Amino acid sequence: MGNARAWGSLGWAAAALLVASRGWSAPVLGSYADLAALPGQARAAALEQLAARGVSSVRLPLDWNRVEPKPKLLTWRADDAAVNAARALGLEVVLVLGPCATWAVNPAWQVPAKERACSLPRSPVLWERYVRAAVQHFRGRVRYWQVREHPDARSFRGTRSEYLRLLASAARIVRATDPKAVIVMPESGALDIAEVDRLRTSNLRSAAGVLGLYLPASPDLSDTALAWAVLEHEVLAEWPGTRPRVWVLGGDIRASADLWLEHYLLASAFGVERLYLPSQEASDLSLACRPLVRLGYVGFLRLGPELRALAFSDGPETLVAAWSPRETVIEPAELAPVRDPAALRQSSVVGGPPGSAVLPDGDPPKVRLGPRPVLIHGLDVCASAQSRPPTRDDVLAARPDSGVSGLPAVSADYARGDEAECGLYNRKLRDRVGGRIAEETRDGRGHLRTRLATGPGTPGPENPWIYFDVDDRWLYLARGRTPVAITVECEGSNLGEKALGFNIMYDSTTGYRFTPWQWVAPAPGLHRYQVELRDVSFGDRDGYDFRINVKGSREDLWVTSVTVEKLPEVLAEPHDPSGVRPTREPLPPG
Amino acid sequence: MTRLAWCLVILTMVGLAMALMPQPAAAQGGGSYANVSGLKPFTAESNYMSLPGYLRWMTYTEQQVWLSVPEAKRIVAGQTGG
Repeated sequence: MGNARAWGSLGWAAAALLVASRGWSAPVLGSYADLAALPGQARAAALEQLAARGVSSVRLPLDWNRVEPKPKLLTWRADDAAVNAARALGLEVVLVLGPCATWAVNPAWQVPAKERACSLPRSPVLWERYVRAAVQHFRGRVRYWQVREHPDARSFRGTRSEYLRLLASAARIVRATDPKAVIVMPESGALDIAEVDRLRTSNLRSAAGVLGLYLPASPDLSDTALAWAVLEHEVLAEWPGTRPRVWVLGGDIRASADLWLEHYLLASAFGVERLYLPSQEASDLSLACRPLVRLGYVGFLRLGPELRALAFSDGPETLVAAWSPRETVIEPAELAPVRDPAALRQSSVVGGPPGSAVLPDGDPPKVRLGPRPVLIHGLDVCASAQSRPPTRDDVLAARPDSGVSGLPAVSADYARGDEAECGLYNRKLRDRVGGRIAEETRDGRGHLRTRLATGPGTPGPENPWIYFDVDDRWLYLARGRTPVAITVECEGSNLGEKALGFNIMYDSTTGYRFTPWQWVAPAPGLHRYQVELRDVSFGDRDGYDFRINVKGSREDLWVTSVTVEKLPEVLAEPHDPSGVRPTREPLPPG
Repeated sequence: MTRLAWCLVILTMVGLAMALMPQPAAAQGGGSYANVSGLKPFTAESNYMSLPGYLRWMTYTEQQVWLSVPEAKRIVAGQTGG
């Protein structure tokens, strides 16, 4: 027993050393705010409030329209005041280059006036002049330069390659002007690990010293944890050369304070260096996060879904941060042996007084958990915590077993009623735009039916898309290494040749793309069509993996089953660079 | 006015100013445009539209963003490498 304890202590020391060497301290807390747009007194008050509540870095937009309202007319007064005021309070400043100066947008592109700031400059010369002037002006005061704020389809009206060209030229100029400066590259999605993986294999991978990620809107932390795990253990682990640092630049501004706290703790487990809160919530949230800022991640105890518990060091002490999506009561000994009952009775809800999470009459003490994390003291976490960031397998093992992980295929067969979906899910995606479809019976068999507006009397909006999500236990972020075949079984066309067809828009290693169009035979009965895909990602980008699209048909598609199967990875035939190989002849009905 | 009243006025101004600040876009997906470059224009698979037209329709349906025709042409040209 004594030996085991000694080994436990050694293991603990090794873990602590590993933690220290990897720097798994909690993320620096930051905020995003356009302080230059505030009057001086309000700006000072806002900054003092942020600093007092634990924020130690601010991201400030360096609005090109404010800095250079007319070509070559540079004015820095407002941004100087904001940067200097932040620095005077000890806050580190990250400047965000962009949005685009409206005068720099090519008028031939006919971008609506109010959207021009979301566009891009007509000439790289204009962009480079702005970047060079900015870096020269703030050299010595600002080290981190972010290239545009969250360049997604709404706020960046250009392609990813156009964005990357802006990034590459900014990186070149920033480094030439200030060798100590670091480029922050924001992603275009929300924790889109496939996008990071693409960057890993591109020649731009060394351009950015920091990857800026945005948290997804989904409150399902299991999905978020899975993305973090794959990023940490698979994508960044294979990064050639120096791996970039990871910051969280923002997330859904409508997310609850509890969810932000959970995200903060989870991000701590994956070595996220900084987490920036949206400005509206920053003051209150940072106050809530403040007790967490000094924590150092030690390991994980539970990964959900009903209970999540992570172990942290707080100076010489250790504690467990635990939460649950539902109100529940636990005996802390369920998590780890109780080392100090008196300390245990001081366990508190984050932001609450000592003891606020402990039931008054429990012996041994019981702790009440809910969505707001609780800090549980007095536990001996040495032997219980897994002292590493969770892996893909750790996260998936914590989910309820769907029983599909070892299957050769997943399927959705709507003839099977309630048991239709086996590792392939549409029912949870029926609130998505264009995908509000229903299950209907035809010839005594269950089907998914699209809703096309095929005539003037057709009511309501069109729903030409059938979304699917593949079970993450079966396939998640395949990175083009797992070829699959998708088989769609559907009713024949009623209107004749070339009246009904579909293709599949799927999450590939290069973003969403389409399979070739497939006409459905004009014959009664069920027909099966198969397409092989060699470049799937299936990383839950935008919350789904693929969708059947029938827009372009003159009648609705009635789908009775869809199957996705894994194909052998060793392919006898040459690789098709398009990634898609349609089956030449329709398959016989199954 | 008393010192307390001044503090309240300033705090109110700060709150108002913070609320009016431009915010980073909420992360709701929609990272980048779908690649339509492999589709055949003016056929069923592009809903009998040009590729820029199809991209405009899809972007509006999914993101509620209307790209202008020249923008959509530029984006499609970028997707096709042209």
